[in-house]
Amino acid sequence: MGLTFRSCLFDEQTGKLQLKTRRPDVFEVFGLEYAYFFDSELLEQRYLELSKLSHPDHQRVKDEESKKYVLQISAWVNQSYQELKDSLFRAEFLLSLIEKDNDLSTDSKKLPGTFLMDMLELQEELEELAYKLDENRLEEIEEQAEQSRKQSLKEVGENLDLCLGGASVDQAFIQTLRSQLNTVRYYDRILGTVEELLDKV
Amino acid sequence: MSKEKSVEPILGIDLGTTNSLVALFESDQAKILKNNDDGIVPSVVTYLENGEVLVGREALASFSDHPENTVYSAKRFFGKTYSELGEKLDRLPFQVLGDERSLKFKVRGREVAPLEVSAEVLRSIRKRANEITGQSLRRAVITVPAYFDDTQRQETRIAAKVAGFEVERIINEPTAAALAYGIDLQKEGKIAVYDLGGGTFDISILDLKDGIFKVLATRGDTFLGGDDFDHALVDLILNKAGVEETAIVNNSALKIALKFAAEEVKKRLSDKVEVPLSIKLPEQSFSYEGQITRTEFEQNIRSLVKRSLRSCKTALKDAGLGDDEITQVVLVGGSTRVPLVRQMVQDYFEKKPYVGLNPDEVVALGAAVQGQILSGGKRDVLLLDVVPLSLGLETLGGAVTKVLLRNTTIPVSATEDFTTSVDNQTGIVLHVLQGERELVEDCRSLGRFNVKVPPMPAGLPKLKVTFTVDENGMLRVDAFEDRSSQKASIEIAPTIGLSHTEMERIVEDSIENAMDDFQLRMVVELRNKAERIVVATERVYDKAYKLMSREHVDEIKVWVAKAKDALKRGEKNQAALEEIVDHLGDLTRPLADLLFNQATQEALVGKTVSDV
Repeated sequence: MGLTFRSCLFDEQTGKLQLKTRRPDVFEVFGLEYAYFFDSELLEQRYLELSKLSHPDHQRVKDEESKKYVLQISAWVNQSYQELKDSLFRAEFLLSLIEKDNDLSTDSKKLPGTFLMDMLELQEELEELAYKLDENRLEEIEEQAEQSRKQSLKEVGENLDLCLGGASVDQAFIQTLRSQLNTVRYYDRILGTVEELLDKV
Repeated sequence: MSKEKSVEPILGIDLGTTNSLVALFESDQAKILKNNDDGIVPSVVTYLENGEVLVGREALASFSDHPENTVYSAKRFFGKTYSELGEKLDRLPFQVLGDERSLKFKVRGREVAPLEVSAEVLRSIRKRANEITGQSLRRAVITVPAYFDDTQRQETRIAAKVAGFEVERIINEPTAAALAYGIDLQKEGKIAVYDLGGGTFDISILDLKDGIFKVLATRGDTFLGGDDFDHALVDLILNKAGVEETAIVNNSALKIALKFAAEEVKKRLSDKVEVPLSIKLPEQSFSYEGQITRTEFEQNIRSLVKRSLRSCKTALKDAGLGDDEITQVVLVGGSTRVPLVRQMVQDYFEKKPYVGLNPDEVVALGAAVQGQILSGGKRDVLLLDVVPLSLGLETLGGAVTKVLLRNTTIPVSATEDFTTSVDNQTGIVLHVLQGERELVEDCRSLGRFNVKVPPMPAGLPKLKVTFTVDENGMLRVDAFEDRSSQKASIEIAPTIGLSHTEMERIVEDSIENAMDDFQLRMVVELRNKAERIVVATERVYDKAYKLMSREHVDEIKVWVAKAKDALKRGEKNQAALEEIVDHLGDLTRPLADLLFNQATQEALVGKTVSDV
């Protein structure tokens, strides 16, 4: 039994799964290059392949120690897959990686210039909508927020890939990316509120 | 990594609310184990006055004679408390007791936990499997509704243990059904499994690809099923008969009669649009004669079916799919025979449901397939299941912090950091919860445990709490204080249902009973052995005196007398019987040898050497 790709969880010499003391890097688990945009089909295929090898159903062991070992590896595979599929996770992971590689640090709470003002306005409208429960307007807000979220992530992702490709980076540039990424979390909160209100309708 | 376990096959068991079935994978196919019947064991248990317990059809047959001592649908009570169920219990002919944290049935003056009732059903299943296969099979995969929480899964596991099973895996019913279907179809695509059983409803969305069954989302309702259709029909009958609902509250016999009538009417309405119904119970001063139409029935259950479709909607959303992305809809559970259910499911998914396999059998068949995978006999198929309900911890102000979100593929683990809020605090209470809501009071409490931390200023201790859900969907919580490297004990005391001590008592009782049975068998065997030796020895006394010393024969006689005495008084002490049998054995063995030689010599007399 082997894998068609390189995974840090698989020792090619012994042909066995290997347990590490620390949780491995999500990209290394599936032998993928660091990049925001990636082949999700390939991830899916590698995930299934690795699952067939690592899942406790196919790795039947008797003693408690080995059971824990298998469980841990299998849990890491699942967790890494879940995280890699999440665009926000990928962006934050790669941004932190770039920060570390370039010895830079950013303010994790900062938001871009006028963003907060726009959001305050939206927040006020949502408070009103909590009483009015205007379904059409809520859906409109939902769609806009989803669009903006997607757009922000896409822009950040493109820039991240440029950095990873060797483009030079500086503190200001990284902070811009970080601030833009922070808006995604903000949109998530808004989407949560809208969803709750839509449930009430 | 290591060699497979022994090749003892693993049974697949569908422990249903209404019916239970057992299947086994044999010669490349999962088969329901049938004993010249349909293989269905009704999940009904009758407790007789003499302590005997009847299960299945036998219990069903004597139901009306012991309405108060017959328990059915025990599974609906798993992990539930008395106060949670409240007025729903009035409809039951048997007595239910309990409080905010427990629930028991009262039968023949003793209290029985729901899992003990299910253990009786499982015991009968085990007997059936052993009779049919001629083997003593202990390993099993047992199915539970996908939406069962940790407590309910735990109780299922204990029930199986009490019944003498070694539980190899607990799997979700809809997933099992998909396994059975997937193997049947050998197709790829997105499957929706709509599972409406006797007591529970589940919807699961699966992605089938390269032999891997990946559950994308699951949703459900552990209190929606055929039982509710029956209740709706009882209401309808009462209404038509002009009888107030209160009239049946304290009348077990009437409740039973109406429940059976409703079930029968429900089944017949699947093929007919109208059925006549006549119930005459002069002793209960109840009588009804008339027609029940399908339309009336459908009016009464429409809102229940709608409730199930709302779960379907959420499941699709969780799976990130639109209704039109489902390539196949599969129906599971006896209640999907109701035409309205089929119609509404078809309308919702805009797809004709696939019903190639018997909806009653498909779950047990799937469990047997999983059994085959686990015994190493099937490596081309793999099941990737999910956590059905989010798991979290209580934080300040009665809020819940989710540590693992629902529909996360298992096995999985996640870690959260916690700290103290008061200086020199020496312990942190971790309250583990399951559910989707934001507040503690709206979630199911799975247990609390106390973690010791070294006294430090508030906010300084760093407590890492790790939730791990294994391949069975069972949760384990570990806590580790980073600064002092203190590990915490993680035994979770269940907040509801049975306490650990109670569970232990039940398991121990079952082991003791098994021991009793075992000892009894040993004693019987020893007595039989003693009797055989006595009879055989007495027959050869004359010859014995010729072949061995007088003292030796006299000693044999002394021990034969002892044996006869023990047999006469019905000796039950295993050790005493063993002593007699062993001693007699030792004494008579030389005699047997001598007699054998003599017999051979006698046989040889008169024969020429060439004849030998």
